[in-house]
Amino acid sequence: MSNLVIEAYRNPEAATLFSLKAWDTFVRQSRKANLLASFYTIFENHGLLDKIPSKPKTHLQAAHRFADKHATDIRWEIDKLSKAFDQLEQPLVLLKGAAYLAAKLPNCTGRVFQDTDILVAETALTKVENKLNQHGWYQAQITAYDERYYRRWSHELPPMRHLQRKSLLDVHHRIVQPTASLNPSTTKLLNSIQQLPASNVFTLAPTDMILHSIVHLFNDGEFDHALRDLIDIDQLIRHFNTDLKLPGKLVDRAEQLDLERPLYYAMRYLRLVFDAGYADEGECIHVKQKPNAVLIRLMDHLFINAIEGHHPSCERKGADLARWCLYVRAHYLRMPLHRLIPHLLYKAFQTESH
Amino acid sequence: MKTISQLSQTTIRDHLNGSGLGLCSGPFNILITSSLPAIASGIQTLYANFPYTDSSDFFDFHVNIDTPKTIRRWYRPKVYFSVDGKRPFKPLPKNHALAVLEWGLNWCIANQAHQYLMIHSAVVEKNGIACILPGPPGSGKSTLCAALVANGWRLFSDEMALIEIESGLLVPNPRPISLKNQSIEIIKNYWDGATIGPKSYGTDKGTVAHVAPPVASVLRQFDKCLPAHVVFPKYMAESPVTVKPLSKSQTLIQLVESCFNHNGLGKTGFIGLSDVVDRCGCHTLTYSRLDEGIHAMEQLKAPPHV
Repeated sequence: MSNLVIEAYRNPEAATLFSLKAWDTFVRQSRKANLLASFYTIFENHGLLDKIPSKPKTHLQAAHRFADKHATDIRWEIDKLSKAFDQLEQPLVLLKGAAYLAAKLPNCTGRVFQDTDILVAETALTKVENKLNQHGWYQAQITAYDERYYRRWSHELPPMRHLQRKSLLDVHHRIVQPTASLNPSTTKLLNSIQQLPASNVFTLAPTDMILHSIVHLFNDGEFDHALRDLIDIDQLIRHFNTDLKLPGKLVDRAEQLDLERPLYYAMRYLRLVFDAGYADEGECIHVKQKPNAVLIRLMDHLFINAIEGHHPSCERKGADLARWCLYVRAHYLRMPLHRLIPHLLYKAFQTESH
Repeated sequence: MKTISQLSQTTIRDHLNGSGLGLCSGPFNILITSSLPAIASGIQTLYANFPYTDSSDFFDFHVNIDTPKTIRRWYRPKVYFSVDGKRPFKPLPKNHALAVLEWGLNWCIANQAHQYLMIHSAVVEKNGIACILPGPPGSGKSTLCAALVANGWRLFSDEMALIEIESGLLVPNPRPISLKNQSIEIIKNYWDGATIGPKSYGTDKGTVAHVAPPVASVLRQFDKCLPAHVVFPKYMAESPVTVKPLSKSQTLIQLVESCFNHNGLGKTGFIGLSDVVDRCGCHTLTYSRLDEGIHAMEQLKAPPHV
């Protein structure tokens, strides 16, 4: 069967013609992609809720209720963080889901995510960590190896957990690992942050927020939520593209931040998967840096398999292999082999012995 | 309505092995696939009176229970429960398959059915008076529930109260009642004509067996009802039967603790539970003899609004 999530996202009206059997598949596919609650909002915005049969509608409503409470919890978390940051001479810069929520972006509704992510300058890390400790966030229990790995090779501190609320916080000082081949400058990102109205909370600039979302999708090994991430990127671009100049700005910014390759792939798959009119990957990259034709063919196969075949009902042959290849690719992009291989070996033996 | 009892064991197996057996359990349509004969015969015994639907319907849960395709199929055989391809638990011994199916279905409901306020409790009704019986494992809630059902009370659930958020109505989901250890023999002796499924020995909860819900409860599995009482049952050996009123505030606090999705529903959850407490008589019931416990339950009158 086809991917009904993509079909309904591209044309929500089409979903009203689904048979009950198709709704069954759609609900399962959306749940797997972590998009069930988002579709409630999409159908609501299109005035289609009344046209959905009661059984599937119940699932959408249940997911929506749960996501709604989750959003309340995250807003509470942001409020507590902003109180801690008030006592520092540092801006509170939210990333990813928390940022979308605080800025009330269209893709924030229906997201359920575990961690709140923030970005701070590397020079301020110690100060921030100490202040967060005072406000109840402590490093979660991890092994000495993992601790060393995080502190030395990672783009974030080891995850922190609030003592009372048990909420998770990731403190980033870069948006990709320092060992990665890409090197987006945190200073450049922090120099163009934007303050949210009536608060001391900041987000990245729109272009940077989109590029971060892109780099997260195309350089991350976790492809389980690839479809959700691609929809995120599409919603962000459509939201900020009011003057139709956004794609051009993204290209300029990607050049400044060393993120041209990921932007190229994002535009390519937004065009191929959603037929997005604004997307033209040819504009995104200097011909010199463009992936060669063989590589593009391979990546098309891998990404499209992983994105469109996210659920057993729409999985194609070789989807598992495609996800595995992307997982390996993501690791390779994050670390040079002479560091990556010992790390993976250690992790493999550690898992074995547990 | 087509019921499972009209299907032969071979047909049930064919469905389970093929596109699935579509079970209508209260508000949930469940599509079950399994190649295990124990599941086929278990369903035939415990779900005989339930309607079924064909596999082109909408299903709330797609569940599978099977042995893995590894050596664990033969050597110390295990079974996996999965819902739409996802396995929420570690594999368990194959001879617990039927209990695993029941636990798995409870897991599906507790994790997905947020259209309801879900309270960990048994729910029974007689003469329009519906009672919520919350209780931690070991409080004797399932045993009392089975005994009440044996005495003509209608079974809503022995595991969780499902409360419709908009209306405050209790929604029946009469599935097999789960009995543990000594309770199995107690109910076998107490309830003449009870249909008790096979025992699973040595589970995390000890020996487990399930009692099929009576036909009358299954026939009325779509009849909702407002709750009239919240009763916290407590089995205490040698104790005389006592019913004591419990304050509304205490009841609310205890319901919050027993509620699966109070936190997940936020304000809606809190208001829903407060409504239950406002609406209901709130009591504790201590008993040692089932008959005395049941007698006490039958004395409960409808609060004014029901």
